[in-house]
Amino acid sequence: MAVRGQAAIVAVGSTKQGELPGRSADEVAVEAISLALDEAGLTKADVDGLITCRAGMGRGGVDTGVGSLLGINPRYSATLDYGTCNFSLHLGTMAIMAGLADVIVLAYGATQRSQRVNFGVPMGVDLAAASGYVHIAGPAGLALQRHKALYGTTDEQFGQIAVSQREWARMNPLAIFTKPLTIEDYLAKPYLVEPLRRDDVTMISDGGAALVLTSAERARDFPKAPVYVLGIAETTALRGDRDPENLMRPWLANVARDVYASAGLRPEDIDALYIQDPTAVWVLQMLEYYGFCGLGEGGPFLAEGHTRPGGDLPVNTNGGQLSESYMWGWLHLCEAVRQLRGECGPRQVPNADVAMYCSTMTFTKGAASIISTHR
Amino acid sequence: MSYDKPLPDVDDPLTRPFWQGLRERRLTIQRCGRCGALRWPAAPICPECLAPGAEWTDVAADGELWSYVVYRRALSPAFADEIPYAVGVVALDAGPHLLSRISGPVDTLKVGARMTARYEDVSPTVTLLRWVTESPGPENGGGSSGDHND
Repeated sequence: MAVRGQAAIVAVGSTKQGELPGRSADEVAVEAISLALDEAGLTKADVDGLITCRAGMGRGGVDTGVGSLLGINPRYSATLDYGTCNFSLHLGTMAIMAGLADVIVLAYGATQRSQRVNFGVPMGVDLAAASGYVHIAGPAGLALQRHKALYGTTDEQFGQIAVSQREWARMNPLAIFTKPLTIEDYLAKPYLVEPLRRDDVTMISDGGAALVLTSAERARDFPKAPVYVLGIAETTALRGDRDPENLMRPWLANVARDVYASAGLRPEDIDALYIQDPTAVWVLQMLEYYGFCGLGEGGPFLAEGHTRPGGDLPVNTNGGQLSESYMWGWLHLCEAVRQLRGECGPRQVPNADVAMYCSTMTFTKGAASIISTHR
Repeated sequence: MSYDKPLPDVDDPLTRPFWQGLRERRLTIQRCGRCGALRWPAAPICPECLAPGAEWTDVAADGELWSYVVYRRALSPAFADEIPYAVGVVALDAGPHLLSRISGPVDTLKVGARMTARYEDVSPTVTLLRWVTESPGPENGGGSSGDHND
């Protein structure tokens, strides 16, 4: 059975983002679920599916813990180790198509900032860790340096990602970073892990997000316009660094091919694009592999301003992880839903009909979803 | 002063021959006894043909700089005193890509540069591999003289 139009997102919920001291990840996840259920006009008794997401590098986020706190015995529940919400949306869609559940809550809560989780600590010491190769900025910087060497990408071109997303964030009341950022400001800042600057890397923050997913048959019964899942695709690169070019993520081309085939759409059909961005390098890579420009042409494409407010390919209109909030990418899908429903005020993309969300799990998995208010 | 940064377990049976090799100024990696595939990082079976075990073989510790980064702010307190320092991936002439610290000046590195290994004894039992630029001119690093992060 084709995926297109079988499931729909009927509500989203997002908590305050930033610092939530004294609270557990599961507690924040349940708050987000509560907000999403309110928006859907549902009570927790209506929920028969729960898909949670483990909080990265921390405890919490397991379905048995979140479900216990939520006080439900759903027909179906599961926990994913992969963030970004794309993988959760896909599993939820499959569960609905298989008849395992009809009203599924997808949820994520994180309090890694307040808990001072240190993302600079390697797990196990190999030659890389003994060399001081720590933090996501390490592999991301390697990929960017390689891109610069192969294609001549410049700092000024690459910096447009952070600058563009800050422009969007300044119109988003949820965003943590809203101070103006021009390309001159960006270039004047020192490198963090060269060739990356601080503005190219997300800041870990606390917060929660949840979505309510239901079958197409039930989707019209909710207060807000349903946002249908038109296409989904994933791929893996579980061989990891055994494949020498893995940091360049050539396998993203497979997800792109499959997600467009799944939805029966093309890059030109995408009105608003969301790219998970723990670092800006992910945006550069995915703009290319998802066919918005040619391989290696991301730099000039960004410099032309397509992704900025007013551009013809709005990207990360929430400000992304770079400027809105970390949340392992979950807020991208919340924002996409709100844009398609036309709720985004000054940052609303005119006539937004189809949105796509692309994400990765470190350097080993890729996922994408295309969604729309039309089936 | 003793070396106080993260150190590998050089007695791990899976990787012991690699660390022993560095101790002896050799780069030695696994090769599948059945299909001959070179294997990096080490693994208990061959991910290509699934044959268990492995042989170890010395490979030339030379290659091309595939990419590099320069840590200009301490993201790990353990390495704060070495800022700025560079880490790079070298595409070995033998095939595998091997990531390690680059010794020497950080501001003149270039993707594609020829690199070669130096071996640095950092503790009585641990030797680490450091990449240095192969330069026809004066040497910019010294075998066991430590890092020169200018």
